[in-house]
Amino acid sequence: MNKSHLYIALILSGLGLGLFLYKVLALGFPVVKETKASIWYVETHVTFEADGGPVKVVMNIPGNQATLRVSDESFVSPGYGLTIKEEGVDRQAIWSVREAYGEQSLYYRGVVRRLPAKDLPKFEEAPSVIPHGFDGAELVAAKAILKEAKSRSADLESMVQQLIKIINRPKPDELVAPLLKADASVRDKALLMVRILALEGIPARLRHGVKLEDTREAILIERFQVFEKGRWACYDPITAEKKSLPGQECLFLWRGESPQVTVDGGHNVRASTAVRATLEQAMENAITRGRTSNPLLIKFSLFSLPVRVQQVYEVILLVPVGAFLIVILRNLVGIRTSGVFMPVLIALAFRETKISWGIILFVSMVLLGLAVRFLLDRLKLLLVPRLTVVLLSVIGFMVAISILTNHLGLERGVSVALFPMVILTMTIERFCIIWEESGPAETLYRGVASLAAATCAYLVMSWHPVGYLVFVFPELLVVIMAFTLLIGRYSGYRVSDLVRFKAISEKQR
Amino acid sequence: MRWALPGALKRGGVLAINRRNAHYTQFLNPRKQYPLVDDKLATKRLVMDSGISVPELYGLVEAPYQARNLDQILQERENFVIKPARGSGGKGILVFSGRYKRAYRLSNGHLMEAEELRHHVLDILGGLFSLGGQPDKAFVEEKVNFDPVFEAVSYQGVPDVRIIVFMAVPVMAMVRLPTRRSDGKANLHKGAVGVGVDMATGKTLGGVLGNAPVAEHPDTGHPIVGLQVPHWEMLLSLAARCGDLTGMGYLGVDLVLDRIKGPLLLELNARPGLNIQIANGAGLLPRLEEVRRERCRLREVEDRVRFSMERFAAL
Repeated sequence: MNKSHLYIALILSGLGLGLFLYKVLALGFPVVKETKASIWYVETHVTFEADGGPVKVVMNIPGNQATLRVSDESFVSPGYGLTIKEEGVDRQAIWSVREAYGEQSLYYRGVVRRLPAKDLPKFEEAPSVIPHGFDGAELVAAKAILKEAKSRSADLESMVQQLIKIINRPKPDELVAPLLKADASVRDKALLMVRILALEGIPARLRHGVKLEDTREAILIERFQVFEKGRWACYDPITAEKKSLPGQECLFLWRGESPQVTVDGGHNVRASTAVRATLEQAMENAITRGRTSNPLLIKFSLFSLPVRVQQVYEVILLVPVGAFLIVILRNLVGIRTSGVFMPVLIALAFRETKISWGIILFVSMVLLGLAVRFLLDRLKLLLVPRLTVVLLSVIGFMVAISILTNHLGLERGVSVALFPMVILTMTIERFCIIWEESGPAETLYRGVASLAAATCAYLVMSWHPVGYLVFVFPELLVVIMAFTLLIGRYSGYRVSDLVRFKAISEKQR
Repeated sequence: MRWALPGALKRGGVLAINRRNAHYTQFLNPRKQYPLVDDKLATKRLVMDSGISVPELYGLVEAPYQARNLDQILQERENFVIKPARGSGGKGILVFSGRYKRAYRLSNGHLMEAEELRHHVLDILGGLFSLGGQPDKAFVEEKVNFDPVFEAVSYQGVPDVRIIVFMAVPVMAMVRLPTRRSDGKANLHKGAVGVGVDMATGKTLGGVLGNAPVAEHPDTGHPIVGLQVPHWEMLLSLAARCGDLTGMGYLGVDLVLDRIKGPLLLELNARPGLNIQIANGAGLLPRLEEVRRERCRLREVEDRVRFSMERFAAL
C-alpha cells in the first residue's frame, strides 16, 4: 500500500511543530493568552466653551496606587500653562491661560502598568483625619447616625456598611434629613460619611475611577474608602458592598471629593475617558526578541500586517479549524451534513450573532426560505431562476428581520445580515429536494445534523485559546493539514458503521 | 448494545465506506471510465454494442426546447420511465403506468399533468438530480414488465437485481424490492427491501429493511426468503461481462428480469452502496481478498462465474 501520505504528514507535522516549538522556547511567545492585559492606555479628553476671559481647569489625575503604576504621561493643552499638584497619591493637573475663546480641547494621556503582586507595599501609614466641622444641631444628628450604625454592627467593616445603608435610606429620614439635601449626589453623601467617620477618628475618602478594560467611553465608578488595618478598604457608596482592592479588579482611581474636572471661566464642560488594553507584555517582548534574533521570521509574519488586516486573518485562520472538525465528523464519525462546508460558514456567522440567536435566526431563515420554495414549486420555474428567486427572498427576509429586531431593540437580531446568503439559498434548495425525495424525517435528520455540526464548529472556533493559537502560531495549521492527510487515507470504520453493520457482526458470533 | 465493536466488524469482514473509497473505488476505478458508468445513456450504448440487452430507449431530451416535443416522444405510450442520464441514487426517476385524459398516471397511482411532467424534465436538464449539479439530459425508456416471480413481493415499481462485481468477478448479489415507502423505487436508502441472494443457486436468503433484518415484504406480507431468481447463471455472466466492458475494478451492476426479453441491464454504478452486506448477512472483505488472490487464473467469463458460484455459496 502506498505510504507516501504518511511521510508527507510526518514532514508537515515536523515542520509545523518545529516552528511552533522554536517560537515558544527560543523566542518566548506565550502559549496561552494572558487572561488579563498588563498595559493600558488611559486618555481623558476635556472639552468646554471658553467665556473669553481667564480660564483655569483643574482635573483630578491618577497617581500610583497598589499594584498599578502610571508612566509616560502627556498633557496636550496648546497655549495653557500646566502645573501638577501632588498630595500623596492624589494628584491634580491645573491648566491655566490668560484669555481663551470658543471651543477648547485638552487631553491627558497616561500609560498604566500592572506590577506583580509581590511589589505591593504591606502597610500604608495612617493618613491624618480631616476635622469633621459639625456643630450644634448637625453634631447631634451626626452623632445619632453614628450611634445607630454602631449599635447594629460588630466591627469597623459592618459599621461602615451600616453607615452607608443609613445614609442611602429612602427619604425622608429624620436622622439624615438635617444633614443632607433631598437631591444629594453620591459625592455629597460620601463627603457626609467622611465627616461622620471623622467623629470617630477614622480616616475615610471618596475615590473615582474607571475599569481598566477596552472602552471608548469609560463609566466613572465611585468607591468609598475607609482606612482599616493599614489599608484602604473599598465599599460601594450606594449598595455598601465590600469591593476588592483597586489593583485586583483593575480599577484605577483618583481623588473624588471634587468632580473629575472643574473649569473656571468656561461652560459646557464635557470629560470622557477612554481605555485601551494593548498587546500583552510577554508577546511584545517575544516580538522584540524575534526582531533581533530572527528578523525574517517576524518581518514575514502576520504581525507585520496592518491591524485591520490582522483582524481579518484572525477570522480566516479559524476556517481551517472548522473544516478539520467537519472532516472528523464526516469521515470518522459519519454524520451526514447538508453541504460539505456549509456548517463552517454558518458557524462563522454564529460567531457574530452568538449561538442561541444564531440558531433561532438560521432556523427561521431556512423555514421561511422553504415556505417560499414550496410556493415557487407551483410556478414551475427553471432551476437557476428559481434559485435566484429564493436568494432574493432570503435577502428580503434578512432585511425584514434586521429592521424588525432593531425596532424591538434586539441587538443580536440585526446581525442576521452576517449569514452567508448564497449558502443559505443552496441549503434551502437542498433541503427541499431531500424533503421531496426522502421525506420529512430525512430532512429533519439532515437539518439537525447540519445544525449540530455548525454548533460544534462554532464552539471550537469561538473558543479563545484556539483562535489565539492559530493566529499567533499559524504553523499549527500545517499540523492540521498533516492530520487531514492521515484521515484522508483512513480506511477503518466510522462510528456510524458500528451501528449500521451491527447485524453482520452478530451473525459472525 | 446498539453498537458493534470495530473488532467485531472486522471479524465479520465488513467493508465500510472509508475503506471502499480508499482501497477499492479510488484505485480500481479509473477516473476516465466514470462517464461510461455515470451516464446511463453512455452505458446503454456501450453494452448494446456487445450484445447485452437493455430496456428500449424511446426518446431523448437534450435541450429545454425539446421538452415541448415530449408528447411526440411519448405518443400514446402508457408504460414508460423518465430518467436523468447522470442521476444517482434513483433521484429524478419517474415511473408511469397509465394515462387518464391528458394526465399521466405514476406507478404509485398519482396523476401528473403534462405541464408538471415537462417541468420535471426541465429540472433534470438543469442538473437538479445530477452528480455535482451539472446540466444533464433526460431520457424516456420502456418500463420493464418484470418477471412474475417477484410479483407478490413488490409494491408498485420495478424490482431489480444488484450484483457487486470485483475485478470482473461477481462477488455478492441482492434483489431489491420496491415498497410503499420507497415510492416504487428500488434504492435501499429510500426504503426498498434488500434481499440477499445465494451466489451458488440464485435463491434468496434473508432480507433487510433499513438496517434491520426482515423475512416478509412489509407491504404485501409475502415471505421473501427462498425465492428462485430466474436465469441466475446468465445474470452472473452478464455482470461479469459488464466488469470487462467498463474496465471498472469495483462495480455495481443493476439488472432487471423482463418476463419476455429476459435479463436486461438497467444501469451501472461506480460507487455501489454497502448495505448489500447487511442483506446477505456477510461482509465483502473476505470475498474480495479471495478474488484478488486467484484472479490471475480466471480468464474466461465462464471461469469467473463458476468461481463465484463455488466459492461464494451461502453456508
